[in-house]
Amino acid sequence: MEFKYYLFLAKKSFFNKKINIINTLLLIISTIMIVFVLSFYKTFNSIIDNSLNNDINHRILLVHNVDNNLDLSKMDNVSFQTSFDHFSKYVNTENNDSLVLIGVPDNYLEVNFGQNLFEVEDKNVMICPTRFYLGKDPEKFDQDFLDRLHNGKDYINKSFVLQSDNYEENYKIIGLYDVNKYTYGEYHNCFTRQSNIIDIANAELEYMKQECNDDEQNCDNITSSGGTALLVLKDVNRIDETKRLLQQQGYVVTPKASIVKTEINFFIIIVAVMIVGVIIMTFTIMFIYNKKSMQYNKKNNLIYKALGYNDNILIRINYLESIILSIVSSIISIIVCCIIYVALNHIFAVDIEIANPIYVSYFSFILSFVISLIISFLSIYFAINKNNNSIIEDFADEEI
Amino acid sequence: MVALRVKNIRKYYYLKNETITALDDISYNFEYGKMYVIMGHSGSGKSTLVQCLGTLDKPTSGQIFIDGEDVAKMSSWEINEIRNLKIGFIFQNYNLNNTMKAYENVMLPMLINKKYRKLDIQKQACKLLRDIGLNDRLNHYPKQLSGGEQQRVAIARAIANDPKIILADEPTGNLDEENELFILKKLRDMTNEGKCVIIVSHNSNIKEYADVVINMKKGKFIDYGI
Ligand SMILES: Nc1ncnc2c1ncn2[C@@H]1O[C@H](COP(=O)(O)OP(=O)(O)O)[C@@H](O)[C@H]1O
Ligand SMILES: [Mg+2]
Repeated sequence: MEFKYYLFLAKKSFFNKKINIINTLLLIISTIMIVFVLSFYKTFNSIIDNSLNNDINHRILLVHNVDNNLDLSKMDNVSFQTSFDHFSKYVNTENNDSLVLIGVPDNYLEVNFGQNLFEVEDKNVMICPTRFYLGKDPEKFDQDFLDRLHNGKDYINKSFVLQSDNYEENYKIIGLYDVNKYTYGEYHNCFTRQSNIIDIANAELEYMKQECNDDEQNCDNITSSGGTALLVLKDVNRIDETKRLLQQQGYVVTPKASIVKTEINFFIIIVAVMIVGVIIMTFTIMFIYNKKSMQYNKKNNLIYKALGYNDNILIRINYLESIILSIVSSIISIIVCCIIYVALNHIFAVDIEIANPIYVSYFSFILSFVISLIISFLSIYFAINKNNNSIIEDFADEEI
Repeated sequence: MVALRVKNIRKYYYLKNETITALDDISYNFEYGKMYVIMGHSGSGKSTLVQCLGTLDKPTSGQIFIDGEDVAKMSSWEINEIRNLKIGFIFQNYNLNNTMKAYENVMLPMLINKKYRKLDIQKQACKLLRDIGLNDRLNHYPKQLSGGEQQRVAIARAIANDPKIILADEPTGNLDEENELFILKKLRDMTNEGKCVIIVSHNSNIKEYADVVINMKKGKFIDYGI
């Protein structure tokens, strides 16, 4: 039989079976679930990836109870060394917004716009995010957050008065860095010279001593906090290796912030279980419905039989029907997913450029199309094999 | 010339507590150019016989020869080809595919007929329907047609591949007299063209058209009228 007639019969069969509405719905739901799970996984993974690989906080090892003069900066995989208290400071602007200043070597950063630390002579300069947040500590990505997010270019070469206890200096923004490259998702971190952080720390120490003296207490234990060295590593993937090396030398070492690998593995397992669950569920339901669908087909199959159609043709028609089913449901799923994606972005008003983007896994469309093909093929295969040898006998049973 | 030869066929249905004998040792030759009417009470085995003759069912024992060839020795592939090319079925409840238009139903047997590969099947189907008086019903679905019209579509479908054997199981059972007459005349015409036409019927009017009237009782042929 010519292919166009197969297509004709399969199309007839597909569009006239009510059960195919259920099959299509099932495949759409499973496709959306697979797309959702994989897209969520991809989004999550990218967050993990970015925060692990780029965020400076995830590349920091703290070495406890060491001498202030100990120099570990020449060690393999160490980018630079400072002390815990001389790394970063919270400061307030004259408008009482808060910023985090991080002290880095002059050549540590890459700058997207403007100048770098080593390019200028001035002392009090800083490099801020290309889009940065001025306000209290941001808690969530809401409209308020978006309103307070500024375009760094408007602020380049502008100055802020930064204050801390006993400290007040005029700081100029000389350059802009990519927020996702150094401090993932932290929109209020600015980088400055390490010496400035030391100044702030000393001023704070002075302040504490004054406070202490005013209260007429014993102030001997208030000293510059030596004792904890802070190592910023180059390669986050070798953090364990470096940590072990230090531990072998007798140091007490802890990571400053860590996303534990086992948590990620656990998450991957959960995602895998979810996907497999979706597939098994769809398979089971499709199988049940396809069996019913085959029974529904029975009368038509009997007519075909009487007209001399052999089983192979009928089976091929059924398979072709399942391909049509997969194509139709995939197309509808893609449309539905696009609508959901647009709606989600609209609801959460997520500006892709600045916040964590929601990734759509295009691969999942292909995957779910293939899965739906396999599911409908298999369920038809089993349904046919169960019914096949009884078609002739059924014919006698049927009142014709 | 003998179209269908049955030799000592028996058909048993094995139920839980009993064995039903639907066909009980029937031997007979059905010839081309003759119209056979099989009559008998309900349950006498008429439908079972027709289904065995049409290879839709297998007798428990005995042989059936179509154009001299033993059906039991044919592959399922050959049997399908015989059903497609040599036998036309007409059923009491028409058995049309409800999801297809009238002409599409008529096209069905032609789709798998190699002979039609180069011909315009759709045109051919429409011609058959016009010949049987359904000029303005080509694009209707079975549900939109009356019983008589549906049976005409079924007849057009049965003769689409120009089979030489027509098996009709109570073809006029659900129809009024006018339609019945039309269909009987059609079947008679086919007989005159040289086909072997076997009709199961309750209706004694049909005897006028028949060459042979066979009475069945409890799975046996009890007499062969003329
Ligand atoms: N599939 C079946 N299973 C069991 N008994 C059957 C089956 N088909 C027919 N019979 C029995 O065989 C006998 C003949 O049936 P059938 O050929 O349909 O008779 P008719 O068509 O003359 O009314 C009846 O007694 C009927 O009950
Ligand atoms: Mg009957």
